[in-house]
This record gives sequence, structure tokens and C-alpha cells, in this order.
Amino acid sequence: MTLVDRYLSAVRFFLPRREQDDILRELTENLTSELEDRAEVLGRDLTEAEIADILRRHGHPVAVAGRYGAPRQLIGPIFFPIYWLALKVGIVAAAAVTVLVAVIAAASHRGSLPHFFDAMMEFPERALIVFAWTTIAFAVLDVAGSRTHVKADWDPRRIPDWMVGARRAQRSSRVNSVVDVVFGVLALGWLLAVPTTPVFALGPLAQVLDFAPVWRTWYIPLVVVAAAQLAVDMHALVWPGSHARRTSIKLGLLGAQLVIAAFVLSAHAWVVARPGITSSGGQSVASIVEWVNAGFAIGFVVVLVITLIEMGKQIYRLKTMK
Amino acid sequence: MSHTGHDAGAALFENLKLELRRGCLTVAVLAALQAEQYGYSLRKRLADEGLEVDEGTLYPLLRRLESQGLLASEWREEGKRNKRFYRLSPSGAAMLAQLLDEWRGLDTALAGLLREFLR
Repeated sequence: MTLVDRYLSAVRFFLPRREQDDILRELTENLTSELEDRAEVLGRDLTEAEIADILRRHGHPVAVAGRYGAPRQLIGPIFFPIYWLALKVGIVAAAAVTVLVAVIAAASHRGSLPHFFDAMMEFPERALIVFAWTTIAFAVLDVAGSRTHVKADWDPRRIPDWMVGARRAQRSSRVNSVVDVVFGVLALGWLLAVPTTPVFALGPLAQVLDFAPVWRTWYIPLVVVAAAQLAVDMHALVWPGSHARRTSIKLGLLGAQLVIAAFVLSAHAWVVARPGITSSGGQSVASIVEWVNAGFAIGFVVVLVITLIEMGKQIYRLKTMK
Repeated sequence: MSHTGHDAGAALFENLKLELRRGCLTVAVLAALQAEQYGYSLRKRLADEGLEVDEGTLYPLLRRLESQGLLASEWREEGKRNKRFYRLSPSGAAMLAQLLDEWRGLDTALAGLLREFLR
């Protein structure tokens, strides 16, 4: 990726999605004309330092993207794209925290839906607080910035990778796809085998424990989501590269996985004692059930967090997709 | 004048200069686009006339004027590359005429007010 490509990718990152292609196409053309013009005047190819100098004069990617937006009253064009990004991240984080708290609240009250909805009702207030503090912080930053006349003293050669959307994983995307498919097949096979062979999930405890009724409701959706995820991963293996539609589908499936995990977690009990069995290996089955359920609860919270992180990655991938 | 005072003065001058140039720039762009230009060639044309405009200001301005209906644009190949050419639209031409009337009025008023300074 050349310095100009990196610069343009960074500008793209902060542009509104619907205008990205059009603005970038025009900006690329104008920049190319300017670089060619300069090279013609000098009678030789431009050095990296000379290209960097032209890009620096052109403006920092955040500022350039900001100037294409509508005029703002409170937060100026230089800070607005960062403010907007911070606001979106903040609101999504507030939503994630609310869902986690709601699920934990419901789980600690035997899967109580009223407790779940009560906790979810905290979201508007949480979002408002995020909005207010983010806006105040950026307004202050904007005023301070304009007062001190912060110079766009920056080096185009040091544009960070996250702005450019350069992902190291891309170099080994084929290997990643193979790993995803192998794990997808194993996960789906495991899911399909568990109802008839519960020892795969519960180990030796399968003799004394059984699955709770919640699984009867959510087992089929779980299998469908796992199968769909495997299909998407196989598609990525056969047709590698970046596809916005595939990434969107993956994001949707992760969302479905999040919802299912949240509802299953809210059930509070995931295993029960088999009828007629009260003890095993000198331990009461009731205490075994309690320990296993505690393990499931921790496992589900971990799954929720990992799913949220994975969703964040997919959203970032969509945003930086060309 | 102290160092801080000097900085504040320079910052204020920059702000006022920007405000002064902003309106003039719109008139200049509309006037220059009576003949078709693409972004970079327009920037050079303005620079040749003594009006240096940075890219970050000019290119977004072109898009804004187009969205306001004052400019029309089309992608066309030139020199083996596709470029977006802008030109004044009919409503842009009417707007330019109105702005020039305003300009002349301001010019007359300022000429009177600045007579002493410009002597």
C-alpha cells in the first residue's frame, strides 16, 4: 500500500459511508493530478518526503473528512468525525453493558423477564449520559483547539493502521478460513451429537445430570445459527476476500448468537438432577447441580463478551471495507 | 506586546482573515466556473489569479455548491483518466449575478470608508 493509498484509506474511514466512494474517487483524482503536476515540474519522480509534504498540506485525514460534512455549530469539522465515532462506540458500549446487566439481573432472579426489562429500561438514561459527557468533552476540546490554534503538525507516514483498515489477518486469511471451517464443523457436529450423547457436554456427570428445559426452546435456533455460520465460513474459504454482504450476514448471525446466549443465560438453570438420583461419589447431586450451573453462568458471560468483541470487529471490518 | 498577546493577535487575525475570505471564495469559485474545470485545475486557476486556496477548503466547497444547485458536474475522461468537471449551473449564474451586485455595493461602500487608509 503506497503512502497515498494509506492516506486515502484513512480519509475514507472518517467519511459517511454513503458518500465514501464518490468523495474518494474525486479526491484520488485531484491528488493524482497534483502529484503528477509536481513531478512534471521537477522532471522526476517524487520522493516519499515530497509526497508526504503534499499530503500534509492537504490536511490530516480527520480534518479532510470533517470538511466534507455539514457545517456544525457546537463541534467543528476537525473534531466532528472523531466525536461521532466516539459517540457511536460509547452508545454501543452502553447498550452492551445494559444487556449484560439485564441478563445477569434476570439470571439472578430465576430467569425473571420483569427484572430483565427493568434493567433494560436503564438504557435511555445510560445513553443520555454517554451522549452528554461525550458532547461536552468534545465541545471543550474544540474550543481549546481553536483557541490554541492547534496546527495540523502530523506526518502522513505515521498514519496508524486502524485508520487505514490494514488488518494483519488478511495476510493469512486462507489459513484463518480453514481454521474457522474446521472449528465450525467440530462445533456443529458436537451440537448435533450432544442430545443423544450428553457425555460430550457433561462428561461423567451425564449419569447424574440432565439438560434443563430451556435447551428444548433454544436448541434448534442454536443449531441453525451454528450451521449458518459454518456456511458463511465455507463461502469465505471458497471465495476469499472482503465481501460486505458476507460480513453483514456474519454480523447478523453474531447478533442472533448474542440474543440466544442472552435468553439461555436468563434461564438461570441449565442442568438439573436426573430423577431419582440424590448423590454421586459421596456428594449430593444438588450441590453438583449448583456448581455446574455456576460454571455454565460464567461460561455464558464469557460467550456474551466474546460475541460482543467479535461483533465490534465485524463492524470495524465493514467500516474499513473498500 | 507579550508573547501570548502576540499569539492571540495572530490567531484573531487568522480568524478574521478566514471570515473575510470565505464569502469572497464562493464568488471567486462561481466566477471561475463559468468555464468548466475539475478540482485541481480550478485550484491552479485560482492560484494563477493570486487566490491560493487549500485543497481541504476548495474540494468540499465544490460539492457543497453543487448540492445547493449552483454548480453542475459530470465525470468525463481526460488524459486517460476520469475526472469530475464542474461548471456553473443556470441558477448558479443567476446567483453569481446577484452576488456581484452585492459585491459592487460593498465595494463602493468600502471604498468610501477606506479612503483614508488606501490613500
